[in-house]
Amino acid sequence: MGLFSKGPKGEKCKVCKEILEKRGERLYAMPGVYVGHYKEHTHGAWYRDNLVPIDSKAQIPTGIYAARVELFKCPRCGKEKAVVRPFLSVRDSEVTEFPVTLEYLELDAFLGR
Amino acid sequence: MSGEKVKKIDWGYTLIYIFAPIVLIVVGTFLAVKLMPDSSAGPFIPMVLFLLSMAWWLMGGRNALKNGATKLAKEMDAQGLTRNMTFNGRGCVVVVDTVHGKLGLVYAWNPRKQYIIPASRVEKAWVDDGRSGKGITEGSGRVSFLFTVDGVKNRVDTFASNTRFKMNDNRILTGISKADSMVELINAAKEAAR
Ligand SMILES: [Zn+2]
Repeated sequence: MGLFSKGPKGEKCKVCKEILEKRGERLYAMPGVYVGHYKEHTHGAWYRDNLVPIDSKAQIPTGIYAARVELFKCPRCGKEKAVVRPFLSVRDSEVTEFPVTLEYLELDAFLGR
Repeated sequence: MSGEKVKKIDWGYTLIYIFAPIVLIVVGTFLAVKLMPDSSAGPFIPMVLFLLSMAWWLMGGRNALKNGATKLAKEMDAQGLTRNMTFNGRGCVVVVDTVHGKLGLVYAWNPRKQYIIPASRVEKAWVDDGRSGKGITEGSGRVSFLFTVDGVKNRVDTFASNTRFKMNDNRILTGISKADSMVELINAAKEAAR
């Protein structure tokens, strides 16, 4: 997937209805989140404090949750959002949890700005 | 405490647990009939005793194991051990200390006894994903991790159901993940005990 590929299913900007561009994707481990203890968080600050960037799935410890974070930007108005896709890697499969969208202040908190 | 052989079943406790309510029902009913044969409450006494017994059988064991696990946690803390992970199984509670190489164990049928043993006494630890059947019938209804202590096999379910699920079902995968991590931790504790 290219750096500026379209969002999932051509997801549209909430403000101006333009199709969002995907600006990047990163893999993180959630070292404090054990199998059986996953809880959805909606605050950017939680992700800022609890996600540790990793290079590959092989670096995720057994029984620890991880997340793919996709960054989107609207090519017209510049509005950004991040979609956090939490999952548990089990051998060669994954247990996926509901994605969490971070926008506005929550996105700023996540990116630490 | 740590040199002692691990006993999964305390027969005295188990017999009392199973038979005490039956004795109570029989004796209670007998006394009710004997002492107040004309009372209108008479017929209700066996019923009340029976309900109490059901509550005891349903919840008593679970509570006893929980109390045992609480005592084990306190004992481990008192010994300055690290409780890296506690797995609350239905038949036993397993606590792993990967720092000092220790294992804490309490069994449902021997809940008054807490075992804290060097993890080096574990010979082997492995996962049983319960996989059976082929093709579209392939699946599992039970995932567990197993380990032997002094040659005695311990099985702890991380998932159990009377329905079978496909191997890629989230419930099975979650069970496998729990079992995989427990085996990894037990092996890490074994390593630390050397
Ligand atoms: Zn826009």
